[in-house]
Amino acid sequence: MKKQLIYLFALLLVVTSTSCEKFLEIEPEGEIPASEALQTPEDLQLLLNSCYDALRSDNFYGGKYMVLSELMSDNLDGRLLQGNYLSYFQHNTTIFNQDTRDVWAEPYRVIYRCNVLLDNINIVPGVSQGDIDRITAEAKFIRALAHFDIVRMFAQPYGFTSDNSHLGIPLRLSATQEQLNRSTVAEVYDAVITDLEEAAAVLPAENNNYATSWAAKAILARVYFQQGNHASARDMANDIIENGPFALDSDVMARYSQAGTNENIFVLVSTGSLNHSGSGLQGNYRSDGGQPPGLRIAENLYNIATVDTADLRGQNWYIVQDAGQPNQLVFSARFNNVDFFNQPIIHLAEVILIRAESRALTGDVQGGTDDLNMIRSRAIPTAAPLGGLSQAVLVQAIRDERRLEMVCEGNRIQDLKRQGVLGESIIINGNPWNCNGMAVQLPDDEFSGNPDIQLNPEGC
Amino acid sequence: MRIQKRVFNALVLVLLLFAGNLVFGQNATLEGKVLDEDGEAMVGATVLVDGTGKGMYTDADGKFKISGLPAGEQVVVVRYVGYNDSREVVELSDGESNNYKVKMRLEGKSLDDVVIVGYGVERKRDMTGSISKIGTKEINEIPASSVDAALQGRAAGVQVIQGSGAAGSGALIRVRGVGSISAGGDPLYVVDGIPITQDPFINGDRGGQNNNPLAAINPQDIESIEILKDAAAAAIYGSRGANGVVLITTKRGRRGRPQVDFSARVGGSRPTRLPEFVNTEEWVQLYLEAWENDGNVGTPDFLPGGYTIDSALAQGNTDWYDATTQMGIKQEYSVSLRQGGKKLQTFASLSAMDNESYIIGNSYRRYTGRLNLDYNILKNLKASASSSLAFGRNNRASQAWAGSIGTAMSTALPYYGLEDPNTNFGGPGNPVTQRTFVDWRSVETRSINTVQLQYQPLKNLTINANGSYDFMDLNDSFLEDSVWTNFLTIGKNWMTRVQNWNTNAFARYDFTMLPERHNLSFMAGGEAQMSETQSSYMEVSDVTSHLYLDWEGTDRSDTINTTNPRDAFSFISTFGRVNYVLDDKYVFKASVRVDGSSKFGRNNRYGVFPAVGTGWIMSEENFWSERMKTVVNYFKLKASFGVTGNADIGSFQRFGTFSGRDNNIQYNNDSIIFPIRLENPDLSWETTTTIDAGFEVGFLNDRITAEFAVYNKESRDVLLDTRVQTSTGFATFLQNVGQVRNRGIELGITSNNITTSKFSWRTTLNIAHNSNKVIDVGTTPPDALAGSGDTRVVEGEPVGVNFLVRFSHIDPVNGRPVYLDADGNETFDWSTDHRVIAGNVQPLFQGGLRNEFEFNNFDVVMFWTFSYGGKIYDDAAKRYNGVVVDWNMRRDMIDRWTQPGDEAAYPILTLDPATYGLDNFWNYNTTQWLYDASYARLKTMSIGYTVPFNPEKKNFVQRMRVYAMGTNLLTFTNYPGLDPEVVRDHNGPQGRNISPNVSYLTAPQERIVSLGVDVSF
Repeated sequence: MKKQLIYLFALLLVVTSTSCEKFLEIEPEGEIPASEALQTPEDLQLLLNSCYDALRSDNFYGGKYMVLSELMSDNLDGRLLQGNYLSYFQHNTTIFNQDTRDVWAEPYRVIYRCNVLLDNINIVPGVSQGDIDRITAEAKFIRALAHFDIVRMFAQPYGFTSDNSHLGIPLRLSATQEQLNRSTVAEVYDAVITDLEEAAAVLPAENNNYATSWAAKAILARVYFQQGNHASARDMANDIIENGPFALDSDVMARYSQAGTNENIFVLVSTGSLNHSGSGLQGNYRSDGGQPPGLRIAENLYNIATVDTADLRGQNWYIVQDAGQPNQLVFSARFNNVDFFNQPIIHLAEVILIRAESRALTGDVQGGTDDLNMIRSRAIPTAAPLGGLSQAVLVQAIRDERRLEMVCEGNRIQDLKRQGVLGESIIINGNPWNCNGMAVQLPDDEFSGNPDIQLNPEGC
Repeated sequence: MRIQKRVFNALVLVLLLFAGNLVFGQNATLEGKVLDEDGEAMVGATVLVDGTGKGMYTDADGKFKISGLPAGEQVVVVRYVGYNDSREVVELSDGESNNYKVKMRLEGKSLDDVVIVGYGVERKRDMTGSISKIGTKEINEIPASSVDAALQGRAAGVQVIQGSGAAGSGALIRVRGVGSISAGGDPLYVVDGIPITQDPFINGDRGGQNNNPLAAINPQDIESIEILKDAAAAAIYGSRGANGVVLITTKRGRRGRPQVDFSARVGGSRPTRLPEFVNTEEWVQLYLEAWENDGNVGTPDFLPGGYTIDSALAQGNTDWYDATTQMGIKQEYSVSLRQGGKKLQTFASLSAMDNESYIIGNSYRRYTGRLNLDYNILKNLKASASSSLAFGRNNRASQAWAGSIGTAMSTALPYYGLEDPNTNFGGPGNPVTQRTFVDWRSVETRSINTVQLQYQPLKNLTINANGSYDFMDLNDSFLEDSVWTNFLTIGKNWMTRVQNWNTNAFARYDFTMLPERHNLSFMAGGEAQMSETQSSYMEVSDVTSHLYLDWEGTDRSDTINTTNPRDAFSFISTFGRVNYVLDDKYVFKASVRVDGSSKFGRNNRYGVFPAVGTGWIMSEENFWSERMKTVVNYFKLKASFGVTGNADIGSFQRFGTFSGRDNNIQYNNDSIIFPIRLENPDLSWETTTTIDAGFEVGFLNDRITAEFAVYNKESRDVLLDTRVQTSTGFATFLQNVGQVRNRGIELGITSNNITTSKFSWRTTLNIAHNSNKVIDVGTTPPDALAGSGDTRVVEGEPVGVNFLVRFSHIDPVNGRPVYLDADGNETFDWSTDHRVIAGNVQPLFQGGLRNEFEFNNFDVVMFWTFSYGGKIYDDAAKRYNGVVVDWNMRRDMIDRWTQPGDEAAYPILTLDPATYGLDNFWNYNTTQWLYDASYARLKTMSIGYTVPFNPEKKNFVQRMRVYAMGTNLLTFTNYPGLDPEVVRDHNGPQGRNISPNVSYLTAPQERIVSLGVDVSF
């Protein structure tokens, strides 16, 4: 009887344990083990494509980056703002801010993907040298874009200290989980410029909606301009304007149109309303639906924009609710009546304005005036060209034009800070351009992963 | 040893006190009758008068008569095969005939004497672990639609926090504290031997409420619930036993004549407490006061919602709370059949319930059916089948932040009109519009099925083989009217289907060596489980009915139809147990389980979970004399040690993966692939080592019984979602790095205070203290282990501390709130650096007190639950009574600072967060909103009347009881919010572990009055 028992238990154990290993191997569906994911040149191309896809996430260039930047500027109406948006408007963000968490994590997700790609590009067999060069250049272009815009949002501007030794951001140039502290602003700009210069040299001039040499050059012009390196900014802008295939569209609405426009130098592509790279931007401003938009335009800006009743922008880009009443509100109409549009990251109008201001600041008043007139003649077809302006008046006119031309695009706060660095007395929503709160506070989750990381001082 | 000695000394003392009463004489006579459970005479029972050598058998009428007995207190022992011994003290008077009646209880059939354990049944006296048992009567004593709520206050050391007052919400159960942080902390639920699907996050926290996976189980079908608390009991469930195991056993057929039970219950409910808000005039006035305080002149252009002051005042006053609540009507009907012949025993039941809450549009409807069959194929071969089918429909009203009364209590201002499409409030945000134009249902089909074969090839050998299938189909379906969507009528449906297969086989062999001395039993077996979840989302425009009812649009091109990747996990296990009982008083037990799971990393495929336990029934020793037994009839010491695990983590956390190409994401008309997760090859279960010691004691022939336990639970390798810098491209990485300790004591007492044929009074009390401490969380800072309402995990503190800036007072000069910084200095600035550990969400002790009275045919039950010493954080109060923005203001806001010198409860009103030193009004988290969560609550009180029937006649109706019942009638608490016990919605297990006592617009519990009738045929 004892024997019977032993046999029985043995049988049970065998039955239950033989097929164990197989039974326990359940792999996630729809996912590939990381070790097998990058095997062919095509895998690398698909991974590169995901970098663009992350770039256009709602949390980054899909809209949040532009929206939060614009909130920090003087372009929006602060009344009725609440919560996270209000803290951006008032420049007093703290570590607890979901919008900050999002707008910090997403660009770094982009950077991580670029770094994975760069780390593997020479390991995967069968990739042609041409593809290696192009993919590397695209990844570096994207990585530079992300680093540049994070450092602009979370650090004081370039020039805040004379040697730019003030706190920048963690600079991530390889795909590791290493704890990193913040590099200086100088180090970040150096890395951004290195990446962009390589991209500008290597990328093709045409690349099926993906990054081109012109895109890299345009971003470089923006970086130089932000640095106050007006000569380089001017030359780079000049190259694009003179040699590039871009032209201002006659229609002031074209930049955010479904059809797209040759004015845009680098865009994030939309292929339908469910595949819309600008949904986060449109969602905050759109004023043609049943619900009022979440963001409203500052009265002061609206008044300036509509002084000249012939300005097509003033006439087409704004909608006023309860006009003349004390509760009058101004909405943007730039993103109305369109289901989707390619999200412009940089366009010819900005490059022209970069050249204009750079020329003006480097003493080329005539050249600057010409550039300004290029923009004005499109916006105000009936206006006579400007001329005979003094350098100081011209610079101010270009800056005012720039504000009107690029409203809601998220650049205004950087322009204001740049002017502050150049010595102007700039007050934004009651706060000086260089007060502590102008650098957005890092999110708690970055700090949680590295308690040693330096937080920004708070308060304005 | 010291405890033993003390206890022994106390017993001796008690005995000496009683000994003084003894009087001797030899002329007393004892006569009486012995009856069985049903009141029938028992023929041939042995009646002994202990210590006198006198006794006799009962006659054909069950009667006996013994004369020549000494007067005074005598112990009368009655024995009958198959029944428990009866042992009672009888006072005999000299020269008289003393009447004595005794009712016998069947051995092993009585609920109190046998407990269900994992893979078997044990005599309670042989138990070495801590197991709490809750019977069918208690389960059905409160009108809980779900079994989890019925466990509250019933078992020492089992903390049950009721969900909200919303129908369909679930309770939070913690067995002996919480030992997990990022992994699930819920106990394992096992129904009729099968670990069931129990994920509360199947629907996330959609609509501000988590899913209740136990909602489809009919509490009336349950025979008993055993809660395995310590390692000796739970280690047989291995890697899933660490947070306790809840064994639910359903009713089965039994030998005897068929019995049909019918029960009906109807009731009405209202909230336990109503909020008090200011009206329109007051609100506008307070808003203007804030506006002026901020240094503004004139009047504001707007009030929230786009109204001007005049248009707001012209709107009058809307009572949004009234507009979103009602008297909830509850109905519940069930009928069951229990019968059994020699071959076939049956339990069958049907039930229907409509549990409407006080929230308009919110109800839980359920129809259930159950068939449990046992069939004796051969004398030694039995087949059993248990099958249940339930249809649940939860008509949902969004909770908390998502709508309904959450909105009524927050952003629905009194001047907003109920139906005012011309304002901003005509659309989303208006809870009345929402409930009118959004029909939201969570529809569940659930079926739990088991088949079992039990074969007894030898007298002492039993072999069991089980197969089971647990099916859950959940459709969370929205039908949004075109009025609401401002477009077309849109149907949205989240479908989740969980299939869970389980098979096990185990054998038990008992043998007895040397008659009566050594009893040994062995059990060994194996088990395999596989669970698979399929889920999808569909959205279709221009539909006419719920998508789950009519999948129109499936073929349409504009349909959004996303199928999520399959989620699946498996467990494979072997286990064994040895019980050894020597002389019926020394118990030794050892068990082990080996678990492998698909969830564990490749370096940690199998976990071994052993346990040992021992018990000593001291009252069986010779030194424990019969006289001692008249006072302390039973005394058992027990101790156990063992290891259990927790594997409640996501299925694929161990894998480092990239998305496949078939992810349906395209950019620029090209596919993409991208990294998803980093691999953790070391990922494993959490390991909990428990030491448990205690005693069980019975006084005066079990008139008073008590159980006492102390324990120390050390959880190591606790899973933490450790933070990596988000700049690495990832946010968290699940790792086994933490350590948590739970220590506690538990006491349960049952006392039959008075037992006479006319009146009886029985008291049950359980009370438990648990002290919880986080020993180690690696380098993870508090903000990386966050729950809601600024609850955190901090080393050296309990899991879930309130990490808040301390509020000191309102400055009488300028009316601003004064905070304390971390060093205790006063400051006007709120800063995250000022946060300190200000409290802890876990109570010092908690428990339940039940009193049951029977008087003739009336019965009264009063059941209290209580909790003392925890904190509750009212996360919404910072908005009610904080910076004036667009929320309702609680009426106590009136006590605000208005002029220098005011000693006010609340600060100067302002629209500007900076006035309170804040960057953002959401961050106004201070200890001003942290309250004592202690409460005592009359959970249920019922009064019943059992209609008498003459037992000598044949009655169609065998038994009938009518009753009235009140739930949550009384609550004593200092908490100024709506309800001191809350479980808010959470988006994952970490919040559920850390933030049980955080309220955020959580619907208070229901106060229910119901009437019912139970009839047996």
